[in-house]
Amino acid sequence: MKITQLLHTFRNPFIRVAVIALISFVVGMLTGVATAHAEWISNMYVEGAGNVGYARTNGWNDNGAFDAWGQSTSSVNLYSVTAWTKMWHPETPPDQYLLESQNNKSWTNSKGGTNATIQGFNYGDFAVTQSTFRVYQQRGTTAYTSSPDGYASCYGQWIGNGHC
Amino acid sequence: MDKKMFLLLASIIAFLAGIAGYAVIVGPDFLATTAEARSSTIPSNPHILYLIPQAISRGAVTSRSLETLGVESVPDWNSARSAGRARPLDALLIDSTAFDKMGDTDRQWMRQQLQDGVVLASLGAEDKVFATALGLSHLGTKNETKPIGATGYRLVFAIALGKPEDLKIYGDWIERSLNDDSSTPDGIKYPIISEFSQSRGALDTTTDLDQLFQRIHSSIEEAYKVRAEFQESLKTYKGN
Repeated sequence: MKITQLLHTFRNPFIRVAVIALISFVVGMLTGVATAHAEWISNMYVEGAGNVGYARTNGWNDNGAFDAWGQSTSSVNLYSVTAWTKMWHPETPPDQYLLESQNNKSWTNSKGGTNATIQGFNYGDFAVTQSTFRVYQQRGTTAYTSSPDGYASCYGQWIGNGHC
Repeated sequence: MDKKMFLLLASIIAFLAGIAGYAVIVGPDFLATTAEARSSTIPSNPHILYLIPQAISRGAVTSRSLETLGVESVPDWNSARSAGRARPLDALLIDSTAFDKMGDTDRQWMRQQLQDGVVLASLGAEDKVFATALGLSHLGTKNETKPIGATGYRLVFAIALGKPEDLKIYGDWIERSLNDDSSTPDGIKYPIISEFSQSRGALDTTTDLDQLFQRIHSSIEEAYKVRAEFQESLKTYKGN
């Protein structure tokens, strides 16, 4: 069945508009998926503050480069929020990684935010973000996200020292 | 409803729904544009210097190739400082041969540039030389052994904005950043935003050079963005 035929099955023009909007929304989402490869953790429990944390790594291919940024946001002001993203390049021998680029952004007395885009220009590059949320200096929560999604979401890969 | 009106309405709603769907996936920066400037907007021609004591080429880098990218070449540290006084720098590229001719005043000036959010790139200098000149324990990772090489670069950018009394408590944050220590000292009363970034790459081809300048311009934009973000945070901060 063609889309136009499908639309004619709805007599009410407002329902037709709603159907068109829904289709466009899905197409937009699919375009976004093709552009960005994101891994995120929402409603993360932060000691002393509750389920307020959101951690994310977003990465995408851009004319031969691999671009990525990290995000750490909280729904309430925290003493410290950090989004530190590293772009690693696999070297020879295997399990050796070269830090090609990194961007560490930190916010104090803030809800946090998104850090700058970093770029990798070599085949096999991947990005991993360490997100920290602290109510006080010593109490807090740490999370790891990566792009490609879930590829390197752990402390070991964040420090370029082996698999998850 | 008139058919034309319906089509128009449907097209507008479809367009907006498409954008909304895209934004849901790509995230809050989906419409991000050039950042706001230090004073007003980011200059169309950022002030980028290349400090090179003698006319040499380093891979695809020559004074001439950089000139086409809007970079001004200067032969010594004195000229670099004068140029920086005439107009604040956005980025400073330093050839490795310039480190040999660096005095204490030059070193202090370069460290101040780093603190002020100027993007610094060393061309052909090993990390140990660049890190020592910046007063840092190391660059890259602590155990990094791969040399930068004669046709490689290291780019560094750092900025921390906050009230002076808070920044004093914030202390040596770049060193903490280099050592993967994301802790924040106790006792800071108002917002601080800090950002440290570094990257390395090659200068062998014109593509490499383009990639270096992508990183430089991205960091310059970020510096302006952070300054604007900090001003906004002070306006909205009402305490934790």
